[in-house]
Amino acid sequence: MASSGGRNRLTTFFLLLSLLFTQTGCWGGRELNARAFVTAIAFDLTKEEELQSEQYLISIQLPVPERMAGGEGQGGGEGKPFVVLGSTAQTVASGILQLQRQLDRKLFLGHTRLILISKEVAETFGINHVIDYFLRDFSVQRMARLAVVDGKAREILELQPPMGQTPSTYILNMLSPQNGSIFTYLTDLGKFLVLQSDEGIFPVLPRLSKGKETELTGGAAVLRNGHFQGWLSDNETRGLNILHNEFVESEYEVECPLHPGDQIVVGVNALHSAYRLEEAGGMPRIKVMVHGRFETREFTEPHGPEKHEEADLERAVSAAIREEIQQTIKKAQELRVDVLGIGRYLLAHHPRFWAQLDWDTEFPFFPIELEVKMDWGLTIRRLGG
Amino acid sequence: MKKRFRQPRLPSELKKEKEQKKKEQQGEGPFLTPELEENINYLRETIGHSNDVIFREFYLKLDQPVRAVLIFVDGLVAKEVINEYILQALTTFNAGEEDRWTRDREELAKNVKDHILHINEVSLESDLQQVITAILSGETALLIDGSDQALICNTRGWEHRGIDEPMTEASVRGPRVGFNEILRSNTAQIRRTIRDPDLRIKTMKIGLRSQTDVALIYIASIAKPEIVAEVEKRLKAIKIDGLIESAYIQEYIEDRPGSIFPTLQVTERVDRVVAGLLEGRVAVLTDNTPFALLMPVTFWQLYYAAEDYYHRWPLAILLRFVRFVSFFFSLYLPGLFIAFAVHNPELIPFNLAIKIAGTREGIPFPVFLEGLIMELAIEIIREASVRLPGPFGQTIGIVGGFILGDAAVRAGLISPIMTIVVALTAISSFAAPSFGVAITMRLLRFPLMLVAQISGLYGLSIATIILLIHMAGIRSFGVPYLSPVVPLNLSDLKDFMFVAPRWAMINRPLAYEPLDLDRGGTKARTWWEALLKAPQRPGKGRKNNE
Amino acid sequence: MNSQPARSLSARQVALIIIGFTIGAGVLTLPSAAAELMGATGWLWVLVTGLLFTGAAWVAVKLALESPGETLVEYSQQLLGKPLGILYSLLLAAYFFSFLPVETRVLQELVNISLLPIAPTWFVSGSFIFAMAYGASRDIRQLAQVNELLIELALLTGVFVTLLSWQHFEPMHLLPFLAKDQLHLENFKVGVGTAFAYAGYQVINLILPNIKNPREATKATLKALLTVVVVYTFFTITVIGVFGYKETMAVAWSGLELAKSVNLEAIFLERLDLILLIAWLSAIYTTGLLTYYFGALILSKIFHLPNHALVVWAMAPVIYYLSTLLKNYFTWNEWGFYISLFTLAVSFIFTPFLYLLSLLKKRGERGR
Repeated sequence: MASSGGRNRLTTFFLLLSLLFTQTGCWGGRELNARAFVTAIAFDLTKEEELQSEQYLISIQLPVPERMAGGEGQGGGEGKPFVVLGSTAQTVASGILQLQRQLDRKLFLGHTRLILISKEVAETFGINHVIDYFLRDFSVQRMARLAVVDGKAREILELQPPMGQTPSTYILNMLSPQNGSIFTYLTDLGKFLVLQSDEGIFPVLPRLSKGKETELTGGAAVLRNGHFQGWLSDNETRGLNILHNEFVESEYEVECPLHPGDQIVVGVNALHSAYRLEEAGGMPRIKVMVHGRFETREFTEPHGPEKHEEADLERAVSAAIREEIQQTIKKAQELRVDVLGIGRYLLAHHPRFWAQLDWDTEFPFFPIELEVKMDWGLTIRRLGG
Repeated sequence: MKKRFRQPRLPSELKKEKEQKKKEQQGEGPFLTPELEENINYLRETIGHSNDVIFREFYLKLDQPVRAVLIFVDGLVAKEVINEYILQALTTFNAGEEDRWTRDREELAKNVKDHILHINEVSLESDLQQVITAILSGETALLIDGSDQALICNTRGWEHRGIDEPMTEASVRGPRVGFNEILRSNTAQIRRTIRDPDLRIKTMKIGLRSQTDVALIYIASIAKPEIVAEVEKRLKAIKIDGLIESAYIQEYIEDRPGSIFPTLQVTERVDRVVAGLLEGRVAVLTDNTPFALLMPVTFWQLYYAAEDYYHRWPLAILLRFVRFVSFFFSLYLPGLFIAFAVHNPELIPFNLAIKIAGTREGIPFPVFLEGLIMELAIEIIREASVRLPGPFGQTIGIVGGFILGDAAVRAGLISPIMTIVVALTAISSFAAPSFGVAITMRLLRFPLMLVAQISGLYGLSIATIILLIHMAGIRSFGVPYLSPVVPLNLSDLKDFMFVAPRWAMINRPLAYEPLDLDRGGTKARTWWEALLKAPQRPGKGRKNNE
Repeated sequence: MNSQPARSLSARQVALIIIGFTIGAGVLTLPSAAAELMGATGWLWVLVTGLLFTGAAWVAVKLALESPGETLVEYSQQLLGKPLGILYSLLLAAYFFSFLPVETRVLQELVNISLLPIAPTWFVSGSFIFAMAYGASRDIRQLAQVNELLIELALLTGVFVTLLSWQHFEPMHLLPFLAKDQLHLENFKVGVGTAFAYAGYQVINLILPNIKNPREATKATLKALLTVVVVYTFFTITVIGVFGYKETMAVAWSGLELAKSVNLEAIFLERLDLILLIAWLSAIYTTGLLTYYFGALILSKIFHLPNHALVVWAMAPVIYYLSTLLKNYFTWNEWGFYISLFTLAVSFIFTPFLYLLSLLKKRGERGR
């Protein structure tokens, strides 16, 4: 009985299946070559003369699969491996709809990993206005990288990279740990959203600009509620990375304390920073403590590492780093935006104190004490000059 | 109840007729009479119409000559045996004074057996039907005038294939013997490997006309009696005219005839059957085929090769892993590829997606059709290469696969990535050590491709769940098919993805509920601990070893 | 088909049945509800309510053990009298069946926004209900095996993805501990709604006759509930720790968003969210399968039907119809609220009451 029952059910199942097949083809299914992969999206303001209210230019970059596939002897190998299309619109959705009208293939955002926003758009519209669409579209990843462009965002999409295939992959790598540059602030859509929703901290986005031949990364855009407030320079970004404990490794040049005029290059790693709330003279203040290790990499004068200069060298390196971080803190206070996360620290560890504060107004004047202590962790290959 | 739908429903008359026939064949037929002439006439009437049945009449020299006849089938018997040990013995025998038994005509047949015949296996039989069956299975019947019993001498000896390496289950290491078509030689091979008094070989005849010998083999002190009884019951219930291959038995006794999953293991390897017996399973061997049936079986077991146990365990683990991966590939790869390519390209890395899109540019078929065509082509090539004799088959496989695939890609009909997918799938399905389960996977692949085309990963997951429910419902002679994974059985997991060293497999698999759980390895490596405790002299020891 | 193989389930299988029943549609939205209620300390809400429900489960097992050979359907009639007992069983059946439209609808929503963007509703819901009915029409042994496999798979994948997302974990997100301005316990509806995630251990009152060794039932139930509590708490801690409580409240499907932010360069698959979705699909499937089976079982027991499969197939169109009534996210949250209310009533009123009754009855018998 059991088996014959099973058989009947199996038959029903296959009948249902065949019924399905007669009903329809495949819903939402689309061959890979019927999709247009959007790898990067850029937002610019429209040109001044045709500026209408509330409109911006959306540009998308589409790779051309035949030219990307890289097979030799196949036709169509000429030309750039990508195209850039653009359209002006008031909302992202309508912009994408208009772009779709220019294409015979379905725009597909599942592989979009790069969203570039020009500084002007960030100033006038704000980031949130632009990225809202991407938060609600399920196919967009939280790992997509965001960047603010100093200049025209579209130009960056159209640039031929020195190595690699498409500019989007190239920029993506520039904005990811793969690049290894410490002057870039690493973030993605997810992290941006988290920092934006957190109280007591404002997110920053990496800066992209067009260099002489290629893009340049480095520096960061400071945002307040999605609106552009100002830039952090390369060195200030490095300071911010230290304060956020995202510092990996970098190099500093200091003057040798014993041989004036002599430059020593030190490699700094294992940096750790922490905040502490303390009282000084009846007034609360934040103490920022940075500890780390460095090693000497290069000497411009013919002498090597020497034991007796240890204390002096450590002091000099600490001072150099301290100066840089101090600059970051000063800039943040000047811009009146707490990108350092001090507010978040206060909220988490001193909620009662935080409740009394109006952080937005107090942050620019809040006393912040910086203490940097660097150790000379030596790995030596050559002792002499 | 279960078998009813398989048996064509006969009109009542036909049924009656058949029952009568069956009754006759099952030993209620005519019996031998003391009149030799009558017996010979009866036998000539029933089997004497064929030229290969030989009636050799002669006289026994007792106190007075007694007429006797030897009946056998030419070709099924070893003629030298009949000539030298039966005929010669009987015709040259001269009864002397001391042979008082010769006067006892009542017990003559028995006495001839006891005193004259130089044959090791002789029995007395009075049922004519049994005599006929014996003759037709290669034995020689000796009928003596005045005796109502025939002497059945085992003179079986016919041309047969020798013991060969198993064709379908080759291995790198392990015995290179497979079964052949002779039941006795097969059971002997098993006996040769297990010299256990508890090894039981029960033989029965199945097939109304073919009267095929079928042996039920198990180790009485290990196998669960319920399982043995169940197998025996199902075997006895078989009603069939001719039994040609063990597949016939398989279809009659398997638990889920409607399922596409095999619930019996088919093998032609002796070592495999023996290993199965030692685990508490039951084997059924059929005359005239080298393929033995092993039961019960779990699904995973169909993916174990005999060889897994002959390699050291780290390698065995790798082999199992590779085989489970190949199982996954052979079932899911084309379906997954279609699901990724049609519905969810965001799941595959961008560079790969763009590569696939690039190679698919200008291909006239949708992915699904492309896959279907290629899969069908592979199936055809496979079938063709099996049918063609020896070396041709291989050539066709290579030529067909290589040239067709290459040409199709060059002509822009098929994308190269689809070719890779299909080829990998085909190769994966060859990695299954059991032919039966490989076919199942091949069959399931097509509906899964269809499902993937319609509804992508979602459909694949739902289809997988339905498959799982189906499989969880299967029981092979009471053993859950998916055991030991579900229901989880930690002890049995020693022989799953992970293969424990032999000495660590202390228990037989619990899934078969063996009577005797202990494999005997509990104390097998105590010397090892002693060795560790002993004072070590590394330098010297090494030298000695070398 | 209806053969209820007596005493065939191991304690482990029963524990997994309870886990499989409990973990379902609720888990994806639990962290946002917790964050809404208690802000950065949301995990505490999950932990405390979980422990409360573990206590309720303990009472339920005690009740079940009073008559280990019978199901709730039988002994509720003995304890409450026939009409009331039948009414209670009917209510319970309705309660079980009320899960199904919600689970179906949530699944359909998630499949439609991610795996199959334009597939028609009838196909997704229909195939899912078919798959559930196909499974639910089998016997409990088979169900237990399927559940065992699927829930283990789902849990392993879930925990794996959750662990991976610890690369973004920010301990400061979990602080301050119990900040006053983050506590919104007055949010009654949300608070009750979290009970939805803990419904399920009630099955112990229905499967006790099938457990090999009824004495192990207590341990199995408590183990299952504690596993669920640990998984939920761990998950909530991770989600709030990674996102911060404000972002947690903003995302609709926190687990999927969590998987979306995991970066795994070395693995072939780019996106873990869809993989997690498939794992979660099997978790929601086990919930549906078991509610379906036990709902049908209660009905077939009340009406003395020979075959629960009949009920299963008869209910399929009803469930489909009900699932189409759930218009959107807000509607099924509303529905979930009422299910949660009933869950609370069953857990903290009805079951303890029945247990008290059975104790009194026992004492009365002894007194005589």
